[in-house]
Amino acid sequence: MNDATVLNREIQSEFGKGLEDIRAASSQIRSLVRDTVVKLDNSFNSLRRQSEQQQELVIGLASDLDEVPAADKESKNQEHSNSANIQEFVKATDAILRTFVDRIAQISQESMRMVYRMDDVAAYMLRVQEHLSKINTVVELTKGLALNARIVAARAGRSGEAFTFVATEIHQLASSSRQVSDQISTAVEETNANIHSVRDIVKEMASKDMGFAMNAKGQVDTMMADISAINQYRAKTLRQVSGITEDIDDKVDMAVSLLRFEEAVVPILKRIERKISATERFARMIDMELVLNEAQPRRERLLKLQNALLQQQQSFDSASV
Amino acid sequence: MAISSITETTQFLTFVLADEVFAVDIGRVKEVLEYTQLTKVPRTPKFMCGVINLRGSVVPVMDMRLKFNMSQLDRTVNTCIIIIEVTVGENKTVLGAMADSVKEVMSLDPDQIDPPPKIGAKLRTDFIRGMGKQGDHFIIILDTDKVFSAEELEQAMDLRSGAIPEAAA
Repeated sequence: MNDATVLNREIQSEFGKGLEDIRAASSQIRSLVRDTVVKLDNSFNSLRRQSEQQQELVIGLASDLDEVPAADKESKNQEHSNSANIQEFVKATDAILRTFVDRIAQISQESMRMVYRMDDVAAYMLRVQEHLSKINTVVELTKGLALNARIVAARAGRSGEAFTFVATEIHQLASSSRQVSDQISTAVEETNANIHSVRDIVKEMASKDMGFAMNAKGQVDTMMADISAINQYRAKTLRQVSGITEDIDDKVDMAVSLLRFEEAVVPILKRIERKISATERFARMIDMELVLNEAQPRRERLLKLQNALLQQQQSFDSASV
Repeated sequence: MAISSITETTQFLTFVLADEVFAVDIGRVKEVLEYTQLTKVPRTPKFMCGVINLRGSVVPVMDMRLKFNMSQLDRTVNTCIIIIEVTVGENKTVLGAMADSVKEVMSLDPDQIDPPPKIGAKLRTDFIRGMGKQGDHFIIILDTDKVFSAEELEQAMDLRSGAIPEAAA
């Protein structure tokens, strides 16, 4: 083996190693890019999923606070339409409280009517007293009559004895009537006193209830206004969060779309590898042994080199590997 | 000691004058009236307060308080006029005695009646027939014929008949 052959082999080997390295590097880049793109893709996908979850939660919360129109409600999933809607709750509570307040006002009015009824009863009692005093007058006259009857009976002597008894009995009856009349009068007075005290109590109660009802109405209104304001603020905040989330989604979409750079990069790397292969062939074709072999005519040696160069020039730019 | 004038159980009409209970024989009592408006008659003694119209007839009314020298009192709702029959000799007349109030008709046995008290010659006590006993209390039984003097009774009769009394001496 002469020096030219050895040299040729070493040169070839050197070419081969260098080009192999370059090819390997290109391949590495390709798989690195692939791996990274896959990982980024997964990462962005899960980011997008989480962002969607967040958005759903926010929308759910916002619909709880807001008054959701019927059409929108139907479009949301079953879960949301059953959840508590704070605005509706507030409305319902308001209605209940108003009912209570109105009821109390009504009771207060009824109480006042009771008071007027009692006034009527008191007036009636007065008439009863008038009747009683008339009865008393009759009783007194009867007593006088009984007395005179006794006098007449006494003057009649023996024949008047029976009548004396009658006259005495009449007197007794008159006294009993007076007693009963007095009892009735006492009862009427007590009733009157009771009615008056009940009337005063009811009147006081009615005015207190009315005052309470008015107060309560005012307090309820203030409370409802406060709750409404708080809800509106919360809803506004949630809408802001929702807006930010949508922004995030857009950015993620943009990032995912940028991952497609791989499609541009891989062909370039493949082209590099093809060119490397072509260069390798060319390197193999350059036989230094032949070039240095002076046994062959110079002209033939130059021709072979020229052919190799031509072939290389032709194949280098072609698309096939 | 029994009183000669009261020999059997008698019925009396009791009435009140200034917290004292008096009685008159019911035989002498014609009727009892409630106090009515009196018609005052001028130039009559103080105890004669006036006359009333009793079913058409004129009846003089005496204030018994003034007759017995008690303080005069305003008329109350209980004030009544007791119509009494009095006898003057042969004549009977009727007059009204005004009392604070009338009590009752009661019977008294002779042994429930004591003789009238002897106070002295100054006061005439013959107008008291006796003292009736009822428990702790005494009832002064009046002799209606003797309560008024003959002169007073004459005046009363004159009033009834319509004659104008003579000017007081």
